[in-house]
Amino acid sequence: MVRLSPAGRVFVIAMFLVFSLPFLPLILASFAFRWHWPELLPTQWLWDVRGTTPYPVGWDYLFSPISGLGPAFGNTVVIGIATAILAVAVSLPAARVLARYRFRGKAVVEFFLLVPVIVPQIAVGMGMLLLFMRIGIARTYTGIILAHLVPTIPYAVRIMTAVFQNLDPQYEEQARTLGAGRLTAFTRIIIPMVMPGLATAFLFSFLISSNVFLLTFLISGGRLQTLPTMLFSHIESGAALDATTAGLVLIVSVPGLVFLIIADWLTGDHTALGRTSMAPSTRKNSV
Amino acid sequence: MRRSDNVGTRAAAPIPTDHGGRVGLDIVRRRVVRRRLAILLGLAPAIGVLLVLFVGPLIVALVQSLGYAPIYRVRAFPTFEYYATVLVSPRFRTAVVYTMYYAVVPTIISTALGVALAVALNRRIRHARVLSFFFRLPLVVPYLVGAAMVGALFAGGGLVARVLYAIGVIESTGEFPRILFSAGGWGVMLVYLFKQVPFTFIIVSAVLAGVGSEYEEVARTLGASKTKAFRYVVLPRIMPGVVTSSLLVFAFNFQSYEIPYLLGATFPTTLPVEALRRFNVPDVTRRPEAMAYIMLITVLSGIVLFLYLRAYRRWERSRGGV
Amino acid sequence: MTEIVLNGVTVGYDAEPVVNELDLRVEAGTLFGLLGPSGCGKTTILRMIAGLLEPDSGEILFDGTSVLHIPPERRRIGMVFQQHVLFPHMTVEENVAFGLRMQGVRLRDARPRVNEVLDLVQLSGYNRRFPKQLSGGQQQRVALARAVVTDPVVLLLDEPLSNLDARLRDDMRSLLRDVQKRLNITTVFVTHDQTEAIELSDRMAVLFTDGIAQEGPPQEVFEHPVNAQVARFLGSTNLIPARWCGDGKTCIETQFGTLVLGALETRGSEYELTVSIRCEYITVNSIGSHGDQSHNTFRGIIDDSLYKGGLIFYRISIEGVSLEVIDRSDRQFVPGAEVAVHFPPEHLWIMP
Repeated sequence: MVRLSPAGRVFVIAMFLVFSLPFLPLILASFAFRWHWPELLPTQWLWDVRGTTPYPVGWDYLFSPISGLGPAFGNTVVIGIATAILAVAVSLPAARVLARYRFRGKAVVEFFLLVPVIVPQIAVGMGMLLLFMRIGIARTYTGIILAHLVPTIPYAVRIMTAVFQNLDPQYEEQARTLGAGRLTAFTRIIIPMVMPGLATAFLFSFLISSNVFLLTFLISGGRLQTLPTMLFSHIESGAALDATTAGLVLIVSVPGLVFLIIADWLTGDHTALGRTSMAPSTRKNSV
Repeated sequence: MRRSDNVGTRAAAPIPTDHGGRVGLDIVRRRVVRRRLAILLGLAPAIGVLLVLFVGPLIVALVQSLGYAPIYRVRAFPTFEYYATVLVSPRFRTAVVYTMYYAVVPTIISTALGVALAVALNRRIRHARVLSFFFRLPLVVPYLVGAAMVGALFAGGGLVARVLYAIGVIESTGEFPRILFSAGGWGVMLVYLFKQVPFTFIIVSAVLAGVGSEYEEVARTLGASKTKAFRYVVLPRIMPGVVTSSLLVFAFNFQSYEIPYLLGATFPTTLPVEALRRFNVPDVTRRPEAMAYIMLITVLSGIVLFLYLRAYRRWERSRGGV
Repeated sequence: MTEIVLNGVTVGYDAEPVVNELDLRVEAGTLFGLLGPSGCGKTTILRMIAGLLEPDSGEILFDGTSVLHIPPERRRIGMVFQQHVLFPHMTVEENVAFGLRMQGVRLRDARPRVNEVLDLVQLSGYNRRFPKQLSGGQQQRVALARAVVTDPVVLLLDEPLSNLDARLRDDMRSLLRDVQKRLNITTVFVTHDQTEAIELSDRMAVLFTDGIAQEGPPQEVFEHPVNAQVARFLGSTNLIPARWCGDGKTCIETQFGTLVLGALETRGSEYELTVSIRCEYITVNSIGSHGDQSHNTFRGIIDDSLYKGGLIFYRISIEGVSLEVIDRSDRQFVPGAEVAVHFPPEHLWIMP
């Protein structure tokens, strides 16, 4: 590999600062009680006023029952897990077919399974709200989970198609020649081999679900809060360096952070996230 | 890719049999049926779910936009009245312009920066893993997190204004340029960049990893400078990745609701914000207008993406179609 | 013609040296082979000569001038990568013309020269094809044409024959030699295959992880390996422990008897020594058929015999010493047979 030029290094460092520094003021702000213009650091910290305010502020407020953070967090996790399980279950057989077979209309199927990523979510969301109101699942967990399947399935299918493409059918055939039945070959050979891929698909689906705002916002009608909808209303009503909003931003970032650490650990390769999601496939050589 | 090809040809090839014609033919036929069944059953769940949850809502919206909404006592089907109302309104046309603007500008910038970053980190550099971790962090948090950050930094009383004040560039919050809630949409576009430079970065990184560094190296040994090697050899190889990522970025920006709603101007604003406003008008008999809006958003976005892809395919073919 | 010199070159990834204090001199106009097992740093050396990798310390000189500060595109080198690395989005013609176009020559003006080198690699008329439409051997030749089109002063080849099947290798080998001689260009190639190194190079070096073990003309390296490691790496050989008999240094004493040497030896340690003889040079006969070969002939028992198309591989033991022998005759001894094993004196090599 060629060494990076000095100019390139400056560019990388600049970008690093741009993408990592913005978390810093939010961490500061989350501990600030007062941060008057034009001070660069908070003028009064949370711990200075703790117990003296008539109601809890900042982190204390977030962790008190009145903030509603607990239910929002719980909803996000429950909806995320349910969405991820359903998305993986629904996508797994399709991914296997797409990886193994060539058939007429395959390109159309592949395109159809990708389109939800491109079609405006607001269009799907508004139509879905009307549909769900009609069948009585608007403003319910079921409704939100079903809504979240639309943006997650395309990614789950893609990730798992790649997994099955990388899985040489010879492994299964070898197991069969060694006396394993179809079922044994599946449970003892296939499942363990695709497990990291399945885990990635599951985590990625969970991540997408935990980040979806508009669909939740439309379908829940404000009745069920998730972390993104809660953050939305705080940003909508709050000031720029408001401690509660800042704290909430940090909490909302937790699922992503955890995902990134697990994904890196699972794949051991920092380009894997891109390769398994939407990057077009390339082969190293044209030989 | 290659794997599925192999499997395909194997399945399509005549299956040798020593049972003689009839029995062999039966086996072949049974195998074909079983194969078709496997394909159908495998695809059914995913396609079924998306038909109900994705196509269904779009059809509901389409039908309503054409004047069939019995719950609001609207039964004018089929009529293009709602489309006409939307299309002639100046607000719609303004929104089209701003939606395009908010979508295209960040797409270009984030593509350029993301590709540059991917290429830079593909070289030998210390702490590449740590750097890459932080570059991917924005990718895995909601857009709303970006919105909060941009707010904290670029609001009138935000940190950037404070720093400028501290070093004496400005003397009051009034002198700080309006970045949020302005028609220029800088705040909106900054959030997009915060999320999408990393997005482009990882997509292109993945493609670069697949391409390997040999192409660039061989170009260098043939007398190409770094710039020329990138321009003539690396870029054509990663072009599919660049097109994919920019396409997805554009498609997202075009339909984003919460960011222009929170950080954009009240007017002019983008199509999705206008659409939801129409949806929430007290007079429900005007809801089909909102449906016409979202159908138009879908069609417009589709047209732009189609034209972009067609332009790319032409360019690709002009290079000999690889 | 350019002479390449590496002086005390060291390079490593993550502080672990891959190449340590390497000295190497490649005379102008030679076809030089670097032979070594994988992981010994041979490709790394090639990349440093090309300028794709900067050494951590040491000096690389072309005709006595340091080239360290010169980026690869201005070193006037041509390199053929192991995987050919043809640009898939360009035709054969565009690939070959690439180097010229980088010098500002237009494709139209580059065409005569492109045709010339395509002719040289026997690919005239393939101008409009795309790499994926070519066979592996053809791709290799395009890569070679592309590397030499700009008249580089140094040609570097990474495993030039390893991606080809047996029949193509022979064609490619003679083509490479032919092109190199005709262009008279200093050429360095690396390989892990000893036949490739021996048959292709004018001079060669055997490289292990701890540096260059031996350097010289292929025949010398092949017949007179400097140590056991080189001998083993160069293929089937027998290493027999021995000691001098008497004081004349004309014969040696082994476990199974006395071996007479072809010439007066001056090298080797005073007492304990190792004698090497390649498997091909030992002859096997039935007992008593060639009675005249009295000295250096011993009775052995066939432990194992294996026929491999024209060659017979034997494992033979003589008084408990096990030897490997490759025989080229048309009769095959079966295991258990007693045979006369002859060691030609001129092929006995005392390891220094």
